[in-house]
Amino acid sequence: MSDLNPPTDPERMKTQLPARATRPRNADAKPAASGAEKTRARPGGLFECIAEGRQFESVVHPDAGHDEAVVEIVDFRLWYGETQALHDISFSVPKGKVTALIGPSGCGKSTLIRCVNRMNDLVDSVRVEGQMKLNGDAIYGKGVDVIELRKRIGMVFQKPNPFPMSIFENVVYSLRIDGVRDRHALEEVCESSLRGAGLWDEVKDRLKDSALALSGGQQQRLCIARAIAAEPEVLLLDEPCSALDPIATGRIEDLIDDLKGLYSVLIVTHNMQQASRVSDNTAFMYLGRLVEYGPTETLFLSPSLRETEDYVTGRFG
Amino acid sequence: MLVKERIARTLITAGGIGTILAVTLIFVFLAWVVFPLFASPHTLGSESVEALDATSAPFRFDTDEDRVLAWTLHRDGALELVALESGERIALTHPFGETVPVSASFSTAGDVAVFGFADGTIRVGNVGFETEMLDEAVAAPELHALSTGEVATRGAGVVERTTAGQLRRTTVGFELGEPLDTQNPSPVICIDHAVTPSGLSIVTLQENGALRVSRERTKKNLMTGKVTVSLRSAELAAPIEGAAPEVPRGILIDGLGQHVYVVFADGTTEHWNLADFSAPRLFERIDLIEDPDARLSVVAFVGGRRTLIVGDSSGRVDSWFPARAAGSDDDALLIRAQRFEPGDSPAILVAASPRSRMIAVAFASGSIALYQATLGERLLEIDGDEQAGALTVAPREDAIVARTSSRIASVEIDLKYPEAAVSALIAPVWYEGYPAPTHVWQSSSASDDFEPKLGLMPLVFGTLKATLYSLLFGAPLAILAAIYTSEFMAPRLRASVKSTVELMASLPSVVLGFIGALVIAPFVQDVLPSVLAMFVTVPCVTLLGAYAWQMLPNHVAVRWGGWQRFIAIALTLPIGVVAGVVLGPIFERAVFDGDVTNWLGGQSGSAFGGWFFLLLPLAALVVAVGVAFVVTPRLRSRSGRWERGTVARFEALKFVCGGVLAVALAALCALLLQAVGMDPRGGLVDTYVQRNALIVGFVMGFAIVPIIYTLAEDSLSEVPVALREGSLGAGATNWQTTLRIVVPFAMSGIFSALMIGLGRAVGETMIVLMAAGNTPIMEWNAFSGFRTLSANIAVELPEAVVGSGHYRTLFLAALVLFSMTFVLNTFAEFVRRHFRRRFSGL
Repeated sequence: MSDLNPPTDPERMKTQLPARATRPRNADAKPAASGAEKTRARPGGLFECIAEGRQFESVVHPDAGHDEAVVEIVDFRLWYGETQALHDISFSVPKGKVTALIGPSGCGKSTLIRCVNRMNDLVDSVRVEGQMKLNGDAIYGKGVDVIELRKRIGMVFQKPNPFPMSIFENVVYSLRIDGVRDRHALEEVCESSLRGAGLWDEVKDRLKDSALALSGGQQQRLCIARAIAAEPEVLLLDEPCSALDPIATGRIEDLIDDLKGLYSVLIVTHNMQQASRVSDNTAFMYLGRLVEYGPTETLFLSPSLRETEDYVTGRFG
Repeated sequence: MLVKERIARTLITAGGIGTILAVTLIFVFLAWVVFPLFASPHTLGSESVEALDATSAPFRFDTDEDRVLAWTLHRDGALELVALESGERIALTHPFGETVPVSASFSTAGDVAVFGFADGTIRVGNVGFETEMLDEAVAAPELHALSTGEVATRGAGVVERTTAGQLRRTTVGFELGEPLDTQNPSPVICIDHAVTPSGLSIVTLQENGALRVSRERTKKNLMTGKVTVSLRSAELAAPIEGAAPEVPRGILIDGLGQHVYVVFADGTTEHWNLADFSAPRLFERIDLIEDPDARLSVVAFVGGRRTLIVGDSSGRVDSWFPARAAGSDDDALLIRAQRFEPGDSPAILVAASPRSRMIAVAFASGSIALYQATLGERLLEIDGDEQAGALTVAPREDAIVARTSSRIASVEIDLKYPEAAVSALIAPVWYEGYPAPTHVWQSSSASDDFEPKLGLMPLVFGTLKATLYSLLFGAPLAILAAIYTSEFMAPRLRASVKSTVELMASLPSVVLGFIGALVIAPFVQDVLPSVLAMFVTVPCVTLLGAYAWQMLPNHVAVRWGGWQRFIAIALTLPIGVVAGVVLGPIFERAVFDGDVTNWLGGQSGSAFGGWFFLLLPLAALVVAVGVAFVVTPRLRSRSGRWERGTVARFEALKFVCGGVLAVALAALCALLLQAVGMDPRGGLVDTYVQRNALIVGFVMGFAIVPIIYTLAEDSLSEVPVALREGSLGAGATNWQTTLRIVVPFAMSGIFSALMIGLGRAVGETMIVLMAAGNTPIMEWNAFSGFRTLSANIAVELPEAVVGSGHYRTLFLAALVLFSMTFVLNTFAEFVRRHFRRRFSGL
């Protein structure tokens, strides 16, 4: 865990700063159970409590809840068949800010973010309880038009997934499916979205080329351009840099920084540095539960729980 | 572990190489059998022996199968036997005694002969080779010394030791029947005969100008068992008193005893028809010689006695046969079918091969040319310096034997397979009796006189037709089913549906074939109007159902999105079928004059109904495109603000209006086409045959659905989940995702699935064999049968003589089939790889 350096230790942070140029450790293969074992060594720990399925209260710092919420999550629970994967999650994603979801592998970050635009509907065995709201509108419930809902939410996935068509068509995809045929409008949206994703200068001369010819980082920024072309109310980024090299990762992070304020972003990341660099708020999850949620600074520098501190400083995870 | 891996690798490599080797070997074997077809004919050598002078052109000259003995019937009535090995005359008899025949005619095979005499009588005879096996024990001692192939003269015959080691004696038998009176004492100067299925037909010309045809009637007395032969005659031209008519160059009667040709030296020919025997009719008088300076020098029949070979003094050789003009019921008139490569001097003799359409023509300069009469090709030219007096083709077609004034020359030939020349296989050929060159496959018949027609095109056409119709039916079904299961069906159902469809593939095609032929074909014939109507009603009802579903309130539609929707979809099929059953007969009464089968046969009704039915899908397409590209975009700005229900109702209204518009458009076009005088019958639709392309489309469609479905489904489910999620995440509906992302991405796989389905359809045998009627005709009519390459091989190979041209042509058909499927599969694989590389960025 050497690259998950604790920002609380200024000395180590200094030495580790160049680590930004090295490939971040993104695919944490360590099973969550081993983390649990580690904590079991310390009797009465919170992780052990979670592992045993006992009730506990998530710590939500009050200063995280001041802003207007774009996504509100209330007592959200999710089951894959018989297995419960998310337990009573409640927090809200503030408007115009970047909210990061961190936690060890298998903690349910991706599951949670995919619930926001109901991508989990595609999985047959999923059952949910509780509620989520997008700007006050219920996301779950009978009679909710999922298609309409998804049009209001942009999503970028772990692996860049440009469609096998031209760059231009990729960007204006969401308009195309709405039946927009006005060439002028499409071109306008294409340019503004590509500019918004910081890709315009690189591809403006080859908009007709296949998107598959782009590099991985460019593809991911193209996906971001595609997501923001629809003017989404919230942008979901599911580990957007996990398949990218450090330079491409850096550009994406800069981009997320630029998007801050324009869009509400919910980002899942494995990379502690990334979370600390790009996000305003951070939620730490463990084994399907929200452990601690608060402003990023607070969570990284003075978390309420020792477990959070352990995780963000890399002592565990 | 390492050892296991090595063994596995070796085994897999060996298996792969073995497979490639096996396929290559099959290809090589097919090519090996086919190759001799394309070898050109050649001579193997010639030999000649001195023989005693034949005074004048003899009546007939012939040799036996082994070419050890030849007989000549001279004009003076002498029958001469010559041993071909030595040229020694071994017998000279006078079977006619004092009454020497004036004229004679012989069958192509040489066995039946008819002679005309000066007193106006005719006699029927049999002349031919007789062979007997000699008993070694009682045979003369000098014969014991004969080794294989050696020949000895023995009495009026020749003894030969066969390859089997036996002694075989060949001699010539000659029998002569009782004189038959023609009731006209004038000498019979010209005579010809044909052995027809109903007996012997003889045509005679007498010196006083009487031209008559006689049919032999054999009566058997039931009490005494005595057989009496009498003649029933018909005058073609009554004798002209006093005036001696010009003596014709020849008179000929065709193999069926139907046509009589009286040919004069200037080429003028009278063509008589004997269809009504009691009243022969002069059909036409035609000049067979174009060139006014040339004289007709020889005329004879090709084997089968239908095609005339006409040679003239300038060396030109043509072939003529009677044929009806295309599509008419008029009389069959003589037409020139082929003009052969001419010789350098007058053609003087024609000898027809007894076993094929090959003819040998001797020219005055001494050269002999061999022609293939059907194709009009010159196979061989044999130079010679002495004019032939008699010419014959050896019975096995392995030599040409010519008798000149002092020699008997035999030229050994190897003709290979002239009837299966490349031009005959792929180009239209002018077969006997056909009004024009056509593609025909008709490889064999009951008669030896049969002209083999080995055009592969009807079979290739049949294969393509079977493939096309089955793909038209099966491919959309399979691909749409694959898209539905992979994109819209609940994953739990998907697996069981897929394995059920795959179960369809386990039905043996022979079972499908006989169900198609014995159950579906008669059933469809019974309910044809309903079946045809279902092509319209089922899609319409399905679409209507879709629009109706859209009209459901949103929360209901969302809640019923599962099995309820599936049942609703499934229900549209029976409703569509019932609608077809109800509407079909109504439609039939309205536009097909009450009976669609009669209408198809062209017996009743106007062209309107057919055009309407054929144009309806086209009109629907035009209307759909028009609505999608013209109407919808104009309405979009307004409909964007509408409620969901309003939009749905409006869309349904649009669909109904579009449907009405399509019907009106189709009707209008149909009326126009009818007014112009065009009729769909004769093209895409025509006379209904019970086993037809439609039935094959159904049944073979059923057979190729599983393979296309499975492969297409596989390629659809191979589309990365990330792409689907990306599209859905952008707010696309399932349908939009499918059309815009999934299908384009899986296109290569779907395409190769189609190609492999195509390959399966091309190679399919049992279904087409049983349900296609096996008529090798070339028409696109959906209601007629056809014969495919594969079915043809299955039907004919067991009966083909091994090594014959027919046999090798069937192997060629197999090779063509092999190449077609090979090319299709390779192309499919190529396309798949190409696309895979294109999408490798993902």
